[in-house]
Amino acid sequence: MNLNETYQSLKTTLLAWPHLFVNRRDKKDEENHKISWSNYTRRNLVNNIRRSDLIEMANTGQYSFQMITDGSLFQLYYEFNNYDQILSVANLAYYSTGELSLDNFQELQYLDNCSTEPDHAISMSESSDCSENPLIAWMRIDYSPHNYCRPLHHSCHFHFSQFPNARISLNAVPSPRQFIEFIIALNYPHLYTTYRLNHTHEPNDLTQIMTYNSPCFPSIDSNVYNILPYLRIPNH
Amino acid sequence: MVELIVTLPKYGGDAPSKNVWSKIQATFPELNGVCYYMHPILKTRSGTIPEFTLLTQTHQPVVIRVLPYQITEISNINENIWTINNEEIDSPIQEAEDFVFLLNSKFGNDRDLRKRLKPYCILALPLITKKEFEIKFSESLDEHKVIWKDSDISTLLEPITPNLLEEEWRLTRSIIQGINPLTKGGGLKQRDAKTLGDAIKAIDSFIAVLDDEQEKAALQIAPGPQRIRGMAGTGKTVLLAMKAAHIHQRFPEKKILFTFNTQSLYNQVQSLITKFYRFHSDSVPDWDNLHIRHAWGSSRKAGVYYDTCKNLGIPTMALSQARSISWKNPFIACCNQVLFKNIEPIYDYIMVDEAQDFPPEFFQLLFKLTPEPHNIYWVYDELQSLFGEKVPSPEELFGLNETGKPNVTLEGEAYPGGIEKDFVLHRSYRCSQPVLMLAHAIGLGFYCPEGPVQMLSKKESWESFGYVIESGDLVKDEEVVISRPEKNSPNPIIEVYKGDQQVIISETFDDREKEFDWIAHSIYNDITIEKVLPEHISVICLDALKMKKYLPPIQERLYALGLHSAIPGLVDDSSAYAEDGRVTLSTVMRAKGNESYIVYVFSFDALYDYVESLQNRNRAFTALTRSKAWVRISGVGTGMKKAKNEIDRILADQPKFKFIFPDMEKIRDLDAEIARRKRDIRKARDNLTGLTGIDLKAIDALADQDPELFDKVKKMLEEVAKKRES
Repeated sequence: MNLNETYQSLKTTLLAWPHLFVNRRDKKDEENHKISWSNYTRRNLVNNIRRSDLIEMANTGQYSFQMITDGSLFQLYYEFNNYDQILSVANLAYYSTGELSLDNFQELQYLDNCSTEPDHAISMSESSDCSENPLIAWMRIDYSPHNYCRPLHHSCHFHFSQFPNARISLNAVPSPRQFIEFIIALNYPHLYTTYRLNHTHEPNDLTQIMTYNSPCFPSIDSNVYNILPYLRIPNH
Repeated sequence: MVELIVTLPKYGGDAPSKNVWSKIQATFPELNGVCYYMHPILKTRSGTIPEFTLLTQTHQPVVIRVLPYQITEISNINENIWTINNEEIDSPIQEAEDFVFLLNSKFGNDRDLRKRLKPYCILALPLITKKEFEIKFSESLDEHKVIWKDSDISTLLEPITPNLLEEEWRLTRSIIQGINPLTKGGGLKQRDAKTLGDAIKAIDSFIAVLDDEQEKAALQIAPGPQRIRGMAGTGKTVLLAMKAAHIHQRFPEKKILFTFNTQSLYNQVQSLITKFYRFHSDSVPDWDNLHIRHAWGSSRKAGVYYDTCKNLGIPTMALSQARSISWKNPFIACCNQVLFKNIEPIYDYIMVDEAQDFPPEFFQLLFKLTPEPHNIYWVYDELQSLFGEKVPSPEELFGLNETGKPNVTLEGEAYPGGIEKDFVLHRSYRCSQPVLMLAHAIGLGFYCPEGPVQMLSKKESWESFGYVIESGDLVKDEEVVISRPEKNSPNPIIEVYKGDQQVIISETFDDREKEFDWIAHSIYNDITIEKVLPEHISVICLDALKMKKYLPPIQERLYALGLHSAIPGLVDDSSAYAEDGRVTLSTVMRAKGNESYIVYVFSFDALYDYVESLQNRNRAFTALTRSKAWVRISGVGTGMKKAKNEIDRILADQPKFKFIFPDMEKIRDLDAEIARRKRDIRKARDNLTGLTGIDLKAIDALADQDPELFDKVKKMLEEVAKKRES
């Protein structure tokens, strides 16, 4: 996948999930051969991310788009070289607010209407100690071909919160479509069920769903896959 | 007439200054302008403030230093020092030069005023005759302008030729008031804007000036509790910030607290106070003495409750703990935790913004945080009283003392110097008159087919909202006519914009998709044809429960048209509201406290919702009053048809309201009626849910056994279905 194909994959995916993703800030930066977001600022990737960090990311616009259901943030960053043809860096992240869902949204609205509850809730949640500024859940896929393909630190690996040493190798970098489908399936199963599965929880249109894995990035050649379990990104 | 604005209560006992002021009034009865007693911006290094600063459109600015001494009290004068009552003081003549220099530096920053204004100082010795002075000191003060006990002062004022133009006068006042930092441009240059964008630019460049009520609210320092009331757009937060800056300027060693309820206000308040302070002092406020604090606070950000716990050496309560004590208002539990402890009074002055959002327990805490005479100034949004809620009295807020007497009362005479204890700001600047009147009429339901849903039942209440009762008594079934004088809605939009767009547009659509299409295309038109910046546009969803369903499709439509937008506050309420380059899509709740030039209020059909209509009228009021210029209202189906009919009738009667005064008892019963409707819906849901679980054969059998009941149910459902289809 080149730069244009990758960005096309992102755009079609956002449209394919009806009215789910909002506040798009995604950007194709042709000059710098990358896909990022408006006012992108490079930051060190850290493990312990707290709610206050998430709020700062949201308030400073450091994301590609948000979920309307709960405000969770997606960051999709792809960088290319060789005339936009070869992927050189990727960081694909999902930060969960872990609070709202469509199911409890009505209740929240009710609280919203009763008082300036969110303000209070936040001030109070901050008011006692660190545990009231909780660590938030996140998932991230990092790709950097400059890293060796070692068993414990593969060039393409999957990270998730609270397990700082857990780097699960991947056989390929997911396309925007693959990453977004993956995150929704894992974190919003009710939405995945509604839009992708039938009443018996089988794919409602297998042929269609399989097309989401094309185009895709090529597989990474590595011995690591023969040593430890890894995540396989479908590629056809 | 010259309005005297007394900023300190000491004027009440300052007989020499009163004498000078009477003399000026008597000598210049035709003079128009403003005169400040002890204006805080003119302060010498030694801390002296001139008694009077007089500004008019026809005469040069004058600073008057009043020396309240008898001739026997002055023993020696020389170039630098005067000896008075055996104490050496700075020469008043040199001080006078300092005042002139200070005033010149204020006006000198503006090119036009620099050439036009030549401030000067007058010394007033109202207890000494010229002769007495000259005999004692063998020296005349003829080269200076002096008001003597016996002198004729008719030539003391120097005319400005030609008189100041309106814009020059506005700028002069703006500078002296210290509100000038809020002016973005150099004055209103374009009056006949043909596009909305040009009109916005013109309004943005309007010179900020406080009116007489605002000026008093901002400058006067009451020697005790003071309440300032006003509806949306009256400038409450700005005035309170200005008051804090002035007090800090005047009494830099005093401890001041500025507290509020909405997190996102923090930066706004800090920026306002800094601007006002810097305008007069070229330095930043001393934040050790001037505390800006959220009412709650946290381990990462100081707050009134958090600081109090820290000072008392007790742990703060976690939200869950506070909720377990008071689920609905956990802050009450927090305040109660510290209220009966030994709290040290640490603040000389406390300013409370958004007072309507706080429980009495918080006021009682603030009372304990100030020593006598409890200089607590609180601003209260009149919105609550508009929607039938009683404004809590100071007695209710601050509680009673050990002897059962109220801790605070605003009853009785004003403070010395005529400083009011209870202030009402009548003029709303944000909204134009048509928009504000529409918002009030919708919010209270004057033109609602079922009659008003809320009502102001007293003449004074109407007046405090800036209305005049023209005819009719406020009694049941009486036809009343109420108008709003133009001066109480001085928004300049109608004066500035001369294009074809109406201030208020309302549209009805068959379905939501068409409504969304219209909104997106109308915004496209605003931005591309009318040259409005995206950040000047807000889209507000009236139907709170459907916000997450309705806002994404609008955002997608805008995106498809190449327009960026933002839904703020999905993660946290402290996010910015109007982000540069993006249209804001919001709920009513999130829009509170914010404003935009163009406001789209959609899903307006919710105004006629079966159970939410009352709430939605309150929300509609809030949404409409976010507009600094134009409103676009839309909705679908019969609900919107009814709403549009109501809007058209309101607009046809403007600038008046004409309605039959309702039965107040009926209005008081509305809450009960809504509760009944909610119960009915629950009952209908339960019964119909039960019905869907029944075997059709059983229903068939029932139709045989009780055909009457079956037909009744069938008819009811058919009627509803038919109504919904139409």
